[in-house]
Amino acid sequence: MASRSLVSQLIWLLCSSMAGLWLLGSVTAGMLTVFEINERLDNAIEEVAQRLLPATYNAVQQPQAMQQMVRQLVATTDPKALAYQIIGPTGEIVMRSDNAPETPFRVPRQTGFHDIPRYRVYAQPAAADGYFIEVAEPSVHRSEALWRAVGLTVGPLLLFLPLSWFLIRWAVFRSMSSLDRLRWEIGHRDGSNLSLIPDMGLPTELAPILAAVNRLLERLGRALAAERQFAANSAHELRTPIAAVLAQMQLLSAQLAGAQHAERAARIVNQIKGLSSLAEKLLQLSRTGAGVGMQQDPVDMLTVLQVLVDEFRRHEDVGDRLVVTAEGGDEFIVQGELDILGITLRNLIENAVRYGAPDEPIEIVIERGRRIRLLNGGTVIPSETLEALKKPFVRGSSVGAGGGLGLAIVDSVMRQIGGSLTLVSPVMGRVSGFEARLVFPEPN
Amino acid sequence: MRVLLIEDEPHLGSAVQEHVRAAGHAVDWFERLEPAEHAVRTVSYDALLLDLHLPDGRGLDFLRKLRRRGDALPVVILTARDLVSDRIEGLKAGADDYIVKPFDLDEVNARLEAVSRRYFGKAMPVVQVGPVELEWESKVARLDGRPVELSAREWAVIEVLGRRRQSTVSKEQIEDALYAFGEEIESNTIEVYVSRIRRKLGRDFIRTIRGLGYRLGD
Repeated sequence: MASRSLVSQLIWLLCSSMAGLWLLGSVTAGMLTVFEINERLDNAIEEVAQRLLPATYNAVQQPQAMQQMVRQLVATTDPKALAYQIIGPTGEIVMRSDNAPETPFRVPRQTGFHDIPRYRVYAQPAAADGYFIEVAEPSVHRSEALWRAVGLTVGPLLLFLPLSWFLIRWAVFRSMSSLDRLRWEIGHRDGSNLSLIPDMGLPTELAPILAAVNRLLERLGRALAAERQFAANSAHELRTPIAAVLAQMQLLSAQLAGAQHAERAARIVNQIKGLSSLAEKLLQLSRTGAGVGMQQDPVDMLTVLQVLVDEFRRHEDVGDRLVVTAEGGDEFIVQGELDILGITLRNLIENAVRYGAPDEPIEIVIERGRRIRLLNGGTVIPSETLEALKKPFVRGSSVGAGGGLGLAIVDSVMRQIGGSLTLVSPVMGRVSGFEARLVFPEPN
Repeated sequence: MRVLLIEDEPHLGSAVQEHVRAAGHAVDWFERLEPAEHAVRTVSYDALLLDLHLPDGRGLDFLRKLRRRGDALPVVILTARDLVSDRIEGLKAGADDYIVKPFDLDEVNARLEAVSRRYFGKAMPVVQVGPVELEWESKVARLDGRPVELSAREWAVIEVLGRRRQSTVSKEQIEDALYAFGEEIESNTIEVYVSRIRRKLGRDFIRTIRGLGYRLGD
């Protein structure tokens, strides 16, 4: 299921709720306005009819006054103004305004309001017997008045709607900024960063999440440190007894030289060396696997290489075969943990010593572009085998006593620090050999 | 060469002692730092093989103390700690070499002799003493170009003299360098070895300085 943004969800929810409420409010306000305007206008018609009442009585009693009144009433010619008709006892129009129709309004002779096409008519008996006063309001006038009133009530709300949308967005984004910062901080905790999240002055709703995440990070850090410590201690505890067994067996093997069991003793010595190497690699794998949360110190790879090259050159089977070429400057800083980066380079050099052609140089080239290349001689390794070499317990050659873990360890570390390991065979520009290429990320 | 070995694992310690001794060196082996401290103050050692984790303290602290008082004894660390940071710490403390357990016994001898050579100015791999040519690295002696077979003890006597080539070495100094604490030694043992070497490499190869000791010829 596709994940939805909490912010857009909140904005959509708030805006739609706001719009719904606005609609409901507008309809209610409109209805109330219509009701109120209708009532006011009806009152006005009724009042006009009431005012005409005494005048009509006098006019009926005194025909001269009638003539005078006619002159006053007929002066109203505005088609939207109220129209009047005074109906005589026989149903004829005794008097009407100029804007009133020439025929009587078709309404019953009953007191009250009557709606007919184009008019709303109020009828009322006049003071004189048999006479009726009918005051009519043109429907156009009423509808215009109603629309104007509704427009004036609802219109401003309509203008505020986009403003509300902007305000809601601003409020949501502002409120979510704390959550966003927390999300960013948590998102940046990974294998290479398990540091505690600093206090960010979060609102009370989010503070417990920060505290819980920090507790979890702390526990995870302790667990990983314990695992690393265990791996380191195990290495120490295992190596010493293995060293004792190996040393004793080597003595025995030397004492048996030329005797019947000499060959068997030599085989046991080799087995112990193999066992020792395997145990060491497994512990290294465990240690580098626990590199989740490895320290992020600036480490100068040139110093690490210097220590390792000095160590390997002391080995009889390496010596001056190990050649270092540095194209860069005086430093090669990588963010990581000194010992884990040391394990990485050590494995590559050991790999080159173990599987490379023994009479060819082992070259370490430190290049610009944050690359370290290790090149050794040897037969070409098929491309389909190369990628598999990064998996544990896969060996590129049946020759050598390796456990098939070295390159897996290197690959694991490089991925953890955001770098890469590329294996190439034959070496570029040559017809044979093997190259392991490390590319390190820029330091923070 | 007289070597001080400090290693608390008895099987490993005994094997190293035996192997280094078989190469013609005298080895005093201690499992704790305290007696080793006493020994290093009373005996002139040529090299130290030092474990780092010992029952009564840290080998590195022992080494730092040694260097603080100006002792230039060549030191090879034997340790189970293989990390780059451990190695850097060891070298900073004043170690000359660093061997990670488990190791090849031959490797221990090779490294021991390499650091010893560096210290005693025998960086030159070949030394000529009259008609005798000595190859320190491969422990080969040639008389007029012909290889001469020498026992480990005979070679050890030549090394002691070669290490202090510009000075006279007393009989006691040679005994100290060749025999560890508690080893049985006859009163004329050194004379016997000197005599055997002279028979093989010529009378003038080792000169006797009457009342003082011996030195290489030339």
